[in-house]
Amino acid sequence: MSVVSFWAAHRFEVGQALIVHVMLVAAATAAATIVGVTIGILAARRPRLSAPLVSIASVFQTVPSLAMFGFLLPLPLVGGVGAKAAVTALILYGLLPIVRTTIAGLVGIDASVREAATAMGMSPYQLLRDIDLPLALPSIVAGIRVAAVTGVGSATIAAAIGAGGLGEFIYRGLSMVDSTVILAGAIPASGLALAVDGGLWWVGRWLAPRRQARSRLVPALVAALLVTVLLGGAVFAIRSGTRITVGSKNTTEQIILGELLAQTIERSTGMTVDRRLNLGGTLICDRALMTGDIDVYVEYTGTALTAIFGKPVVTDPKQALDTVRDEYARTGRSLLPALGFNNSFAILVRGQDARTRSLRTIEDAARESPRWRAGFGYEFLQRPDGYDGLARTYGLRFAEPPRAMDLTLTYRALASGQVDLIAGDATAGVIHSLDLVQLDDNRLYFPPYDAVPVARSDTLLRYPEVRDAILKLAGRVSARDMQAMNAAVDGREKDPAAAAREFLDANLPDLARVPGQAH
Amino acid sequence: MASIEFCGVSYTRDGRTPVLDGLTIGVAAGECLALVGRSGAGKTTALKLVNRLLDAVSGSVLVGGRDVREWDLIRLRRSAGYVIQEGGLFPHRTVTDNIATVPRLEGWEPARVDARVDELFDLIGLSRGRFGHRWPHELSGGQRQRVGIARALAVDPPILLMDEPFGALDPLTRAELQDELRNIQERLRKTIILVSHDIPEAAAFADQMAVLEAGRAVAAGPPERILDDASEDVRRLLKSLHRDRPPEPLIH
Repeated sequence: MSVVSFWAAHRFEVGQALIVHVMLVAAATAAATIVGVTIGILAARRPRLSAPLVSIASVFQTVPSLAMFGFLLPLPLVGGVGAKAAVTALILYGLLPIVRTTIAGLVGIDASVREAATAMGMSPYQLLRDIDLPLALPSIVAGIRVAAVTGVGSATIAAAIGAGGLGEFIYRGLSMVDSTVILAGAIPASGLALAVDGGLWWVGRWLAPRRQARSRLVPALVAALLVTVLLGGAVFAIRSGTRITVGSKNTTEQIILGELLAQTIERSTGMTVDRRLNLGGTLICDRALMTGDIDVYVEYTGTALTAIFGKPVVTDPKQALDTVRDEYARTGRSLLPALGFNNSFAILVRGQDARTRSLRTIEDAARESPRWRAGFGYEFLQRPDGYDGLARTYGLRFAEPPRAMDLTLTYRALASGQVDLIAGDATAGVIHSLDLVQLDDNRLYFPPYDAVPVARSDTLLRYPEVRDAILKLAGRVSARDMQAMNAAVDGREKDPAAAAREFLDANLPDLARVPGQAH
Repeated sequence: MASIEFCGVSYTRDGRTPVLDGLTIGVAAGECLALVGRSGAGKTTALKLVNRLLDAVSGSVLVGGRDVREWDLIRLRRSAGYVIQEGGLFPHRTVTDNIATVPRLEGWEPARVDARVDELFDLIGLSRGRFGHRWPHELSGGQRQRVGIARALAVDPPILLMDEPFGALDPLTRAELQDELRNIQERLRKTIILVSHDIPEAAAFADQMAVLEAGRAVAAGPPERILDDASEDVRRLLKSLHRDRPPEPLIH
């Protein structure tokens, strides 16, 4: 399927993502302009403040975007997951260029012009309004242009914390290993960046001081900024007005599970469910659950045990479940009964290799591995039940140190021969479609990864019907079900919502909402 | 009555080196006082003390018999038109809008502003039809200076403070503009302080002249008297001022 037919098929979704993207950038740029110009004015007036203020703004810009979102997650008001945190990050990024150009614009004003204005009896406010701002405006607009254009780029990363926008397609494409979907988000994002750049270039030219038709333009620009801020605010207010929020990480399976939870709650309670699917990783989901940005998501016992609670690896499924339940209870979260499948790590090789070298177990692979290269997700390289232990248990050695890459890219890297062994998800839909083979963990190294919904306890207390709804999923999703749904979505036969809907229709038909049961 | 008096005025930028050191001079309402002297003698500083772009460290500046610090700052500044070298025009406003700045700040009715702008174009001898919509950078130096004068005169202030108003002009334009300013002054009788380091210009134009050196007035009085009976020191100073500049035609 080409990018164009993907757009045609998803035109509503793409259009909405584009609008959200524009809103994020517009709101952030507007706020960064107000804050940045204010700081710039202060700094230009007091040169002693200038250096520290610019340094602070520079520091913000050097923070990598994913790290920035990480810092923002635990913060109240400005942080968390969703549009708010994204806008905060984009504002911080936008400050530096705007502060810099505001200072440059103001400092560059001919001193005799300001002196003449002062001698006319202009008040400091009139001087700012009639002289300083209009003369510095082209320079300020140049800074706004830089902020807005880089903002369009940074906003794609905001999809990692569930802010939406065009980045959603990029992340979805990465998790589906499908460049068409990546392009479906990346092309409009680049187009938007070019349009913003061109548009603001034109505004800057139009505002060049000698062409300016009086300073009426300053209030007009301020008004335009305010309107975008208000519009943006309204959009986010509407987006955050729902009562239950389901989260998920940014893998196909997680998104399907998020849909499954959301639709189950919708069908059996009639409540409106907000979806924060596609959050950028385990810790982001966990923090979001802590802060109340999401109410429920599906976690895996092994992941919770080691990655979230920093406990030693446990191989007994029951013991793992009990430990995790206790730890969650201690932090105000409730573990609900497992869904029924175990998504352990799967050590994968190409089907071709498995057949020609008759590889069945990881032990078999250890014989071949010194001639191989391996590629692992960042998480697998870090976690205690990840690579180091695996290498020790099986005596695995590779031709070069394992390559760290995005988990979702490893499947394609394996299939295309860039690496020879990866650690993927046991339920990955692409395992079948890319002809990959899972090697048997015959020394029982990997701990259990039972999929379990985990929810905020206060949410379950306030809405017992949500607990009842989720309980209906207990033990109903098998590993085969999950692989089939993953394959259907990864192969793009269905979108995640449709896959979840059809699964519920087939397996839990009694969920269907009865009118009058709604609140 | 808009007389201006400096009574023992001292000013320093850094707290040690005096820029003005007990300056005492004055000018009666409707007369023109020229401040001459070398660069750094304190001429511009003295001028800026009148409209309080600077404040004296000690002594007092009286405008209309009242200390400038007792004046409402905005009223004081609106009573004193300020003309600087190259005009200091607002580059983002047309000639008309530059001239109309102070009337608009004063909240005049648009029709009244418009009529006043017409008068001012006549006064400075420029055609509003040709120049009204131009931008400052589209004017010649002399035209810019005229617009600067019109802007300073816009609300008919009793005082005009001029800092080297003809400094950046070629000799011909300079002579022409000096003539025009003299005509304007004959009609309007403003109290003028003119900073210049051009003795002939000052002598031709001013009723009173003060020679400043190191922050003090070393000679003061009607120009012809100063030029005739000044002490040896002052003569030498005035001569050196002539040598500072390239030879220029005398204006008469």
